[in-house]
Amino acid sequence: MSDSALSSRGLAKRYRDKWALKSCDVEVPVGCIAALVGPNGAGKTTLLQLAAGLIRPTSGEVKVLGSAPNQDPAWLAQVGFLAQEVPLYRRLTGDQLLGMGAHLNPSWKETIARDRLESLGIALDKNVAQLSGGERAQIGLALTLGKQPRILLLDEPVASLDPLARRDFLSSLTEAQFEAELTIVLSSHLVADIERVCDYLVLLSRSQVQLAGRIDELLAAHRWVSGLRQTTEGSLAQHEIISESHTERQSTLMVRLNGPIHDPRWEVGDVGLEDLVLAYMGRKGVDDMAQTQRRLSIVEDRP
Amino acid sequence: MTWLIWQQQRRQVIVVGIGLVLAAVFLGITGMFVADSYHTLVQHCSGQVHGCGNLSNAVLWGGSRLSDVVVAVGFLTPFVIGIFWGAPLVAREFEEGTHRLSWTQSVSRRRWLAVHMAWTIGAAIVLVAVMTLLISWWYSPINSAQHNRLGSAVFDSQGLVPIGYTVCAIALGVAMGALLRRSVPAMGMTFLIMAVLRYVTSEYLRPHLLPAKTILVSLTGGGLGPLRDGWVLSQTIVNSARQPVPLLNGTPAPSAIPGACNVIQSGRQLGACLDAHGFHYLVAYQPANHFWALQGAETAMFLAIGIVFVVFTFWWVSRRDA
Repeated sequence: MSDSALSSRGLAKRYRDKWALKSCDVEVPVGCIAALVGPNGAGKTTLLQLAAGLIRPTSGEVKVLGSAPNQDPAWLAQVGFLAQEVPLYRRLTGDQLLGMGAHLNPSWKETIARDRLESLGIALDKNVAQLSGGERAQIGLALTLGKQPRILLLDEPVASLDPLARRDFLSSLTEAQFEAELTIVLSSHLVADIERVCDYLVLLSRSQVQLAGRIDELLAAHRWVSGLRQTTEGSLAQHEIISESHTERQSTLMVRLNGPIHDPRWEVGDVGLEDLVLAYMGRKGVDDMAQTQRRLSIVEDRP
Repeated sequence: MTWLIWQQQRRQVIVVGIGLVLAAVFLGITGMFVADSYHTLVQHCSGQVHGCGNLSNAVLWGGSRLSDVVVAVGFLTPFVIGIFWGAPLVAREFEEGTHRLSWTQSVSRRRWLAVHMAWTIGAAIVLVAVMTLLISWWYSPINSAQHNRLGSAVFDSQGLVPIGYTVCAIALGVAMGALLRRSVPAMGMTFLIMAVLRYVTSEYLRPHLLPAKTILVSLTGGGLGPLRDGWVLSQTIVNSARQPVPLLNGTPAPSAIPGACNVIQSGRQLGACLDAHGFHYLVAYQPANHFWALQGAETAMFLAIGIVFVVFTFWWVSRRDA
């Protein structure tokens, strides 16, 4: 727990009668760039807002930098949060917003924020309402970086950006992380973006964590396997089937390895991050699985 | 924080400041006219005690609705400030999502709220104090001519109470904004609740904020004494034993008055007859010299209500999801 920048245990949040997040256990190690992926409505925003202390858990606990989110200025100073819609006071200029950052954050470092924006050529003397979405996102990021947080929580930071602005933004992130030894948690539903910058993955779906871990370890632990349909039974029993598709003769499965695959009848291939994410997103939850008619005999055979 | 508030609000502060200066110039010029016509009037009708009451109204009120407007401005300003400064203070942050910006800086929500409310209330007090002084000065000749200034809108627009109303309205507005999270509904609720509070206060509470005085007045008039500029709350006819007399069509019921008076038909003679038998009006009233005590009590009451709203807002904002 001590070297987790963000950890949660049994974390749950309910809005009226709808659970936005249920029994969520996450550990994000210090110093990584973690992607929080999942379909819309999976609970990504809820998790980030819980971590930032903007909302309170219905049950369970979340710890950020070792303590539960609170109103202590010292804790607030260490946590940078950028909301999805990049809220800024639209009638203020970039300069005024940087002034706000300086006045509201004792740990503020003007050069971090200003140099970044000036090198991007963003006009700081205009009202931010006149700037493009990408420029506003950069100002929002500069504001959160300027306070020199130890953890950065970014909710869909690139969702509204065009591809070029998106690339600039993400490379800003990696630079910032490299310079400041930050932990970054960013949510996205675009795998291409996270593949470029993230080294840790938390996959949320149906209000629960489906998969979490270092991306290279996750990729190493999963394989595509394909072969003749009738061979499926038995020979993959020790591995976990994540997804499967069948034609008349051929079966293609994604498995989480539990040891090597010896059976030479299987053709084995590496998985890509996008395949992995899609496979887990499409996977039925444990509860659903008990009820589904589409269970494979392999699943039933497992001990 | 103060720096940020100034960056955000300076345009509005300048506009309101200019507006205040213009209002001061306008009230200054027209106020001299009012004072001047009052002095002319006093010279004109000195010695004619009876004529002056009506005459003063004719000169000072007649022909222009200006004094109505001045009183109305003083009466409504606390509403306007509560609605336009109080209600959006938190609600606008929610509406524009900027609470996720401002409440994730290195400043606690409580401190954010405290500083914002302190500046808003401080600025409003300065504004309302200046306006109330102007209005009270402008109105003072009319005050002297027009006796009762306890039971009307004039009371609401002078002295201390505008400050009490204003502080209460801002606190109410902020609380509604925090509760409803949208500016327009918060503004509506602020107006509604404030209107109810003020109506109930002026109609039902103000008469009892200080113990009312009572006085016996002759039925046939004259000797109004302190009632002349006091605020009459109720009057009943009592007999010589000081017991209320039942009324029939506005005059004492025949069964309740001495037989000698029962035969008299003319109202005036009846009055004289009853007078002679020890009948009086029993009048309950707040004397004019209760003005400042009533102002103080009502101001304190609204400040106390305001504090309740402030406490609620702090509790709600720090406990609820943002």
